[in-house]
Amino acid sequence: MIDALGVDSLCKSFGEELVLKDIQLSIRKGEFVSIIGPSGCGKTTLLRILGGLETVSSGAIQIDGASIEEALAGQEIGVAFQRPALIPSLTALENVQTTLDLCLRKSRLTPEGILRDFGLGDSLNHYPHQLSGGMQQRVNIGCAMVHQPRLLLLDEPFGALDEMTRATMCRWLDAILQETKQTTILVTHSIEEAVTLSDRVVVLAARPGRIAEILEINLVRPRLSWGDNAFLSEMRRVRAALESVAVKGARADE
Amino acid sequence: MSDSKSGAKGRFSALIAYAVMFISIPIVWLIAVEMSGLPSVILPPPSKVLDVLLNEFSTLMYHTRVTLSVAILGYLVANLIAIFLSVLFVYSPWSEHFVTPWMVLIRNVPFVTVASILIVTLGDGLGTKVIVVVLVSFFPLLANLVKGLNAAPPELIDRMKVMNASKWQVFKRVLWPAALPYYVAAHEIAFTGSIIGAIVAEWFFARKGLGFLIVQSTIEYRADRLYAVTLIASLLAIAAYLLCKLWEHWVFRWRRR
Repeated sequence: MIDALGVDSLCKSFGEELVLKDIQLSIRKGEFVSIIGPSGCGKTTLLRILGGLETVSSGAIQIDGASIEEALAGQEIGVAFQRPALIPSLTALENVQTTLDLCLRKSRLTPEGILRDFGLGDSLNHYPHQLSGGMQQRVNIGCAMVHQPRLLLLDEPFGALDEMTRATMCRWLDAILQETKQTTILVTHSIEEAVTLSDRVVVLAARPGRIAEILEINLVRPRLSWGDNAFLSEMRRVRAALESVAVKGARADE
Repeated sequence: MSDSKSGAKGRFSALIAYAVMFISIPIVWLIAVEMSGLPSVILPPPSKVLDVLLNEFSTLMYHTRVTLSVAILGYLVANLIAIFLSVLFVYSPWSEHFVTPWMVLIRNVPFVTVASILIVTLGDGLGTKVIVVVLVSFFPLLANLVKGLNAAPPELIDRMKVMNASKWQVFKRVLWPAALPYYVAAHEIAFTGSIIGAIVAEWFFARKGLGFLIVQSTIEYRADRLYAVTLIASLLAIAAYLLCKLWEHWVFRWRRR
C-alpha cells in the first residue's frame, strides 16, 4: 500500500547551515501526525518543504506516490498557517470559495457546507475583521480543506489564540478530522495539542533538525481531559521526550 | 458607540468643516480688503471677482475645460506608467534596481526647468503639457503602488502557491487588493497635483487654459480675473480630492460592516 506521505533521507541546508538532516517519515492515509520540538529545530521548514514552498537539498518526498510538483499541480495539498491567510475584502464564504475558484479538481464539499460544519453558519457573510481569532482560524482551515486535499498541513494554527479558545479549537478540529479522515501534519509547540489530536508525535531535535523519537498516542477519542490519567501520562511521555532532546541540545552547545 | 454612528458623526463634522471654510473665505477676504486699504486693482473685493465669474463665465469655462483635459489625460498616462512599472518591479526585482536611479534623477530635476526644456525641445503642444502632468503626478502613484504590492501578506501568497495559482491569479486576488489602499491614498495627492501640473505647463507659451489666463491676467494687471482663476483652480483641486475620498469610501465599503 502506498503511504499518504513518504519522506526519504530528506536534508535541507540554507547556505552552509544544515537545517534538516536525514528525515525519514511515512504517514498512513487518514493519519494525524504532529511535529514537535524546540525552537529553531526546523519544524516549519519541514512543513514548508512538504507544502512545496521550499526545495529540498537532497532526499525525496512522495505524496500518494506522486512527487511534490505533481501534488502541487494536482492541488493535492492544503495549508493553514498561524496567521489566517484570509483576503480582508472577502466574506468568510467568499474566502473559502476562493480555494474552489482556484481549484481544477472536483470537491463534494461546498464552502457553505464546510463553514456550517465548522459552526460558522451565522457568520457566512462576515468579513475577517468581524470575526474573532478562533473564528478566523476556522475559516482559514476551511479554506485549506474545502477542496479535500490528500494532505493537510497546519503550522501552529492555534498559536496566537488564548488558552481556552485553543482548547475549544482543539476539540473542534479533532471532531472534524475524525469525521473527514483527513491526512494531516500539524506543527506545534503545544504538547497538549499534540496529544489531543495526534495518532503519532514526531519529536525533532535541533541543530541540525532530525527525528529524535516517534511516539504513538494510543488513546480513545475524544481525548482532551485533564482528569484522565491516561491522557496525563501521554502528556508526560511527550514532555520527557522533548526534555531529553533539549538536554542533549544543551550539552551539545556546551 | 457603533461604527456606523461614529462614521456618520465623522462625515457630519467633515461637512461642517467644509461649510465653515467656504463661509470664512469671503469674510476673511472682506476684512483683508477693508483693513489693508489696498486699491481694488490690487486686492479686489469678492463682489468684483464674482462679477468676473458671471460676466466671463463662458471664457473661464472654456479655459477650465482645456486645463482639465490636459490634467485628466496626463493623469491617465501617469497611472498607466505607474501600474506598469510597479508590476514590473514586483515580478522582476532587478528591473527596479535598474530603473530607480533614473527615477531619482528625473524626480529631483526641478520640474519647472524640465517643463521649459520640453517646450524648447518639443514645442507647446498637448504632448508637452501631458508630460509635465505625468512628471508631477506619476511618482506618488508609483511609490505607493510598489509599497502596496510588497505589503501583500506572505501567508496569503504561500496559500496561493500551494494551490498552484497562476501569477495572474496571485496578482488579482492578493497583490492588487493589498496595493489598493496605498493606490487610493496616492490619488489624493497625485490627482490634485495633476491639476497644478497642467496649470504650470500652461504658464509656458500656452495660448489656452487656466495657466495661460493666469499669465494674461498678471500681464494685464487684472487681479479680479487672477482671483477668479485661483478660485476655479482651488475648486477643481478640492473637487478632485473629494472625488478621491468618495471613491475610497466606495472601494472600502466592506470595512464599514
